[in-house]
Amino acid sequence: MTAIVRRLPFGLATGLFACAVPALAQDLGEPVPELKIAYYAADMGPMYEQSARVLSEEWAKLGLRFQMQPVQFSSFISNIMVGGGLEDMAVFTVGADPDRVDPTYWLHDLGACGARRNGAKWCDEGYTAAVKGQRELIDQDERIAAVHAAQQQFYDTMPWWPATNTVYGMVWNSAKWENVTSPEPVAAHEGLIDPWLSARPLTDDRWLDWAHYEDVTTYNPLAEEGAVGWLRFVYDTFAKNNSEGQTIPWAATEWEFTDPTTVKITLREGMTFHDGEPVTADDAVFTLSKVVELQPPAMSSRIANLAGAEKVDELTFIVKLKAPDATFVTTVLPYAFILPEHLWADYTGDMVARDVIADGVAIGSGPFKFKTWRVNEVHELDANTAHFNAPGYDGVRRLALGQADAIRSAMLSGQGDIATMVLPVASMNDLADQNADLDFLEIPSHGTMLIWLNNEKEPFTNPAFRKALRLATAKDRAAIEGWLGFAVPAGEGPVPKQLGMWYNPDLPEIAFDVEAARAALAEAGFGWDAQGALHYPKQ
Amino acid sequence: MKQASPHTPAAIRGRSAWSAAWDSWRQVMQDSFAVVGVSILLLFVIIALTAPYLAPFDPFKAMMTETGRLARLRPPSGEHLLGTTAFGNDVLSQFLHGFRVALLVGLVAAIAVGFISTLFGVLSGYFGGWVDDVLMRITDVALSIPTLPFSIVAVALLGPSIENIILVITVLFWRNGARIIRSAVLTERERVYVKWARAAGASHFHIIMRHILPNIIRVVFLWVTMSVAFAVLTEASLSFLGLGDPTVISWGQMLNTAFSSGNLRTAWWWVVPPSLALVMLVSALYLIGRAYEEQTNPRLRKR
Amino acid sequence: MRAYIFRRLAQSVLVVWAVTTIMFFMFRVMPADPTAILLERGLTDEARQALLEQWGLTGSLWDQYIAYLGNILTGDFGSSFLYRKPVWEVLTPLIINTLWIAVPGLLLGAALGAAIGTAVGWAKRGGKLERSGIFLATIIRGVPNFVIGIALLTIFSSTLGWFPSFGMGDPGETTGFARYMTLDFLHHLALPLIAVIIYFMPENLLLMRSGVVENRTEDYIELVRAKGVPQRRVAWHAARNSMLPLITWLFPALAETIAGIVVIEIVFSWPGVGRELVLAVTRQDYPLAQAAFFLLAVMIVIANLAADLIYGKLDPRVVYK
Repeated sequence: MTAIVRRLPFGLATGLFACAVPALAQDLGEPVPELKIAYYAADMGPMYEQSARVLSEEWAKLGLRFQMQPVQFSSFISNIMVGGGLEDMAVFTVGADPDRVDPTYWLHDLGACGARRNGAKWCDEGYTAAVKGQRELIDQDERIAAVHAAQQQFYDTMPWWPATNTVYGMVWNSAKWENVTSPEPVAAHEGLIDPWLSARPLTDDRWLDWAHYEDVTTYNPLAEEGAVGWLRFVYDTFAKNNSEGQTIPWAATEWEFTDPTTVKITLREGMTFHDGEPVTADDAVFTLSKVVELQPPAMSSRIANLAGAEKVDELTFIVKLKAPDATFVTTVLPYAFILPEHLWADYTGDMVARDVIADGVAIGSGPFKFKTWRVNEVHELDANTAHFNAPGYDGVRRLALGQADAIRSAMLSGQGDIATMVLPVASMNDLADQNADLDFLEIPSHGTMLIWLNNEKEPFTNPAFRKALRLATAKDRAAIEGWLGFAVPAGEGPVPKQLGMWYNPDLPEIAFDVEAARAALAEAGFGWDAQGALHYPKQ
Repeated sequence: MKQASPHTPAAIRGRSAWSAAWDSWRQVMQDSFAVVGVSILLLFVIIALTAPYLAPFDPFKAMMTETGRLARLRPPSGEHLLGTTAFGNDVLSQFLHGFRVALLVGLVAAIAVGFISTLFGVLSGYFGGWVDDVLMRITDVALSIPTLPFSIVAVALLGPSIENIILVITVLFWRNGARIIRSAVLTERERVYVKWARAAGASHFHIIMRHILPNIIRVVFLWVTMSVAFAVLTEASLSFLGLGDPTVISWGQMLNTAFSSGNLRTAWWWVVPPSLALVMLVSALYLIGRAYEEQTNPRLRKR
Repeated sequence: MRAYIFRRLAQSVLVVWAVTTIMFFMFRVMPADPTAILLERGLTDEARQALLEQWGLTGSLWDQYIAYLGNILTGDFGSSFLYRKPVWEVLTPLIINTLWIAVPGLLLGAALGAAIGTAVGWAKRGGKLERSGIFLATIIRGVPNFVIGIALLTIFSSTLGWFPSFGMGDPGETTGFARYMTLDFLHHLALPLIAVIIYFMPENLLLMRSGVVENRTEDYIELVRAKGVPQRRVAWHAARNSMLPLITWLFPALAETIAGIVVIEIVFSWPGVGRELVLAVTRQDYPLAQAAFFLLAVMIVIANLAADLIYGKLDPRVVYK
C-alpha cells in the first residue's frame, strides 16, 4: 500500500542510459542487487534526506537501484557507526567537534583496523600502523609528513570519502553588539573567545542574550555531555584552539614535552576562582588526578591516555601520559578544566553525579560566573571581572527556546542578541537579509558529510566499483540542493581541508564525471542489461 | 451454520448488515451538514487519486534558477502556483501529494480500527462472561494510555515511518470504539427479537450477523468516521513534531519544515494550504460523524 | 458502595501497573541507545559499560524490570541521564507550568462551551442560530491544535505585536511563586491559554448542546414551562441537568487535554511536562521520559476513577450491576 506514496528516486535516470552500452545477457554476471543507503532521519534536519536523494539520483545513472533508509541518530551511531551494522552504504555527517581539529580522528578513529568508529569496516594493517605511529610523533614536521602520507594511501584505496564540509552560521544584532568574530572551524557554541568574549556592547543593554534551542543539562563538568562550550564559560581550560588551527595559551601560559610521555605545564599567574580563592597547581593536579581515578564516562575519549599529574611548584605541574601522544596539545589542553580543590576534596559522594547547583559549587575560574538557571527556560551567567580575559559586558544569558520560530522572533524583537546554528543556516541568512539590525556570518567548519561503504561486502570490495561511485558522487549538488548552499564540496582525502596544514594538498582532484564512472565500471568487466541495470563481471 | 429459510419469520430472519448500512447512509445524507462533509471528502479522494498527474513537479525536486542557484522561498507565480519552500521544492506538488498520505493514513486506520473495535466490541458485549472481563480489562489499560505522548514515544522508538505511524494509531484508537460498540451490543442483546431468534435455534453467528450487527452498524460508522479524523490529526501532530516519515510528504510535515526552518511568518503560501486542507478534511469528517451521532441518539432527532 | 470503590481502586492499581510495564518494555526492547551521543564522541567500551551499570541498564531484562518496579514502589523514579538529578526534581516545576495553562484553559473552555452550548441547544431546532452554532463548533473542533497555535502566533504576536511569542516570562530575578503573580507572566500566558481554550471548547459545546436538546423535551421541563416560568430560567433547568454527563466527562477530558497540550507547549516554547517529554524521548533520557509518561498515565487513571465514582454516586445502578 505504501509503495504508492513512497517515492522511488531511481528508475527514470536508469532509463536514460538503458541503450547506451547494451550487452548480451551471456556476457554478464549476476545483476548488482538493490543497495541500501542509510542516512540520518529527519530528526537531524532535512539536509541528510535531501543529500542522500540527490547523490543516489546520480549514482542511479550507473545502473544501480537504491533503497533509502532513514535511521535515527542514536540507532545510526550504535548500530552502524559503532555496532558494525552498515549493510551497504551510508550518507551522514560528523560534527565539527573541537577535538576533531586533530587529524587523528579522521585518519585513525574512522579508518584504522579495530577502531571503534570505523563503521565502514575497512582494515589495512600497514595503514593502521602508520596512523597509530603519527600520533606519537612529537615533532610537528615529522608528524605532518606522516599524516600526509597516510592520506595518500587512504585516497588511493578510497574505502570511504567525504562529500561536503558543513558551513555553520550565526546571526547577531549589530545595532547592539560589535566585534562579533568568527570561531571557525568550530561551531560558535563550542568557541569561547570568538564570538563570545570578543563581543562588545554598543548600548546600555550589557547582557548578551543567546537565543538557543535547548537547555544545558548540568553544571558538573565531570558529567557533561553536550554544551561543552557553555561549561567552559564557567570552568577555564588550559588552552584554546583558534581559527588558524593553533593551540593558544589560556589558563596555562606554557607547556612543553620534557620527554615523549611527560608534559610540563605552567599556569597563568594571579587567577582566582569565583569565590576568590587563588588557582594553583594543586587545583590542576587535583582535578587531573580525580579525572584519571574516576574515569568519568562522558570524558572517556579524551582522557584515555592520561596516567596522572604531579605538582612541581605553586604554578607548575607535570602530566604523565601512558604513551607518547602529540594530540595531547590539540585535544586535551583545550578540553581539560580546573576544579577548585577546596570545594571538591572533602566531597564524599560520587563526584561525577554531584549536583553542583544544589551544593552551590558551580564555581570555576572562567570568564563567567553561574547566576541562575530555570530548567528549560533560561540560564544566566555573570561576567567575572577578575578574569584575565574578562568580557566587556555584564553577563550572558542562554534562552532555551526549543523551536526555530521562537528563536526567529526573539532575534527580530531584539530580545535575542545572537543565534548560532539553531536555525538552518539559510534561514539565519534570510533573517539578516530582511533586517537591517541583524548581521550574518558564515562559519566554514571541518564538519563533514561522509559517504561510507561496507568494505567487507560485494560490490564494494571491488576497487573499480568504489572508484566509479566516487566519480559519480555529486558533491556540488549535495552542497547546493541538500545543504542549500551552506556546505562546500569536500576535499579529496579523509582529513578535511579546513584543517590547514594537516590536509594533504597534493591529492589530485577526482572531478564529478558519470561517463568516466561508467567507463571505469566497463573496464573492470561490469556490464549493463537491456533495462540498463548494472551486472557484475562474468565469473 | 444453520441457514434461515425464507419462510422463517422476519423477526428471526433479521436483516443483512449491508441493507442496514445503506439505510443509515441514506438517513445521514438527509443532513445538509453531512452532505457538505461528504462532498469535501469526495473532492479530497479525487485529488488524492489524481495527485501524481496533477502535481506539476516531483515533490522533492529542488528547483533551480537559471543562474544555478536554488529557487528558495519564491512567492506564488505562474511557474509555481503556490510558490516554493525554503528547500526550493514546489509547494503545490508537495501539497497535492499530501492528500495521498492523509487519506491513506485515514483509510488504513478506519479499516483496522473499524474491524478490531467491532470484533472486540461484539465478542465482548455478546458473549459476556470471562471474554468480556478479559477484553474490558485490556481496554481499561489501553484507555489509560495518554494518546499523543504514547504515539510520540512509540514512533520515536520504532522509527519514523508511515507503517509505524499507522500501527501506533491503530493500537491507540480501537479501544474507545470497542467500548462504545460493546455497550451498543449489550443493549441489542437484551432485545426481545434476539431472544426469540435464540429460542428458535438460530446460531450465534446468525444472530450476530443478522440481528446485532445491522442494529449497531451506525455506531460502528460513527466510530469509524471519528477514528479517521483522529488518525489524520495524530499523523499530522506527529509529523508536525518532526516524527513523520521523511520519505513521504504529508501536510503535518510541510508545516514542520516551515516551522523548524523559522519560515512560519514569511512564507504564507507554504503554511496556509496544508493548514487549510487539514482543517477541511477533519471538519468534514466531524460533520459526517455528527450526523451519525444524531442518528444513534434518537433523542437528538428532530421531532 | 464501599465494595465498589474498593474494586475500582484495585482495578486502577492494576491498570497503572500494566501501563508502567508496557512503558518499561517499550523503552528497553527498542533499539535506541542512550549512550549514542557519547559513542559518537568516542566513548570507550569500559566507560560505556560503567555508564550502563550506573543507569541500571545492565543485567537481564527481567532483573532490570524487578528493580524498576521496586524503585517505583518506593517512589524512586531514578535520575535523569542528562540532568543527573532525580527526575522528580526536574519534573516538579514543569508540572506546575503545565497546570498553569491546562487548568484555567480547561475550566474556561468548559464554562464557555457550556454557556454557548446551552444557547445553541435551546435555540429553535433547525434555526439559524442552532445551525450556524453547530457548524462553527464542528469546524473549530477540526482545527489541529498546532494550527491554532500557529494562527495565534502569526496574528497576535508577529503581525499585531500584542503578545510575546515564546516562553513563560522575560528573564528576571523573581523566582518561586511570586513569579506567577506578575503581569509579565500573564502576558506570556495569554496566547497558550487561548490556544488551549479554543482546542478544548468546541467538543464541550457540542456535548452540552446535545444534553440540552435531550432534556428540553423531558416532562419536567414541560412542567416548568407550563408553570409560566420565563424562558431563560427554563433553559437554565435544562442546562443544569445536562451538566451531569458533562461533569463526569470533564475529569478524563482534563487528563487527555494535559496529554494533548504537548503540541501547544512546543509551539509556544512553554516549559512544561509535555515539551520535556518530547525532548527526553529524542535524547533517550529513559528515566525522565518514563516518569513524565507515568505521570500523565496516572492522571488519566485517577481522572477515570473520579469520574466513575461520581457517576456511581449519582447513578446507583452502576454500582450494583
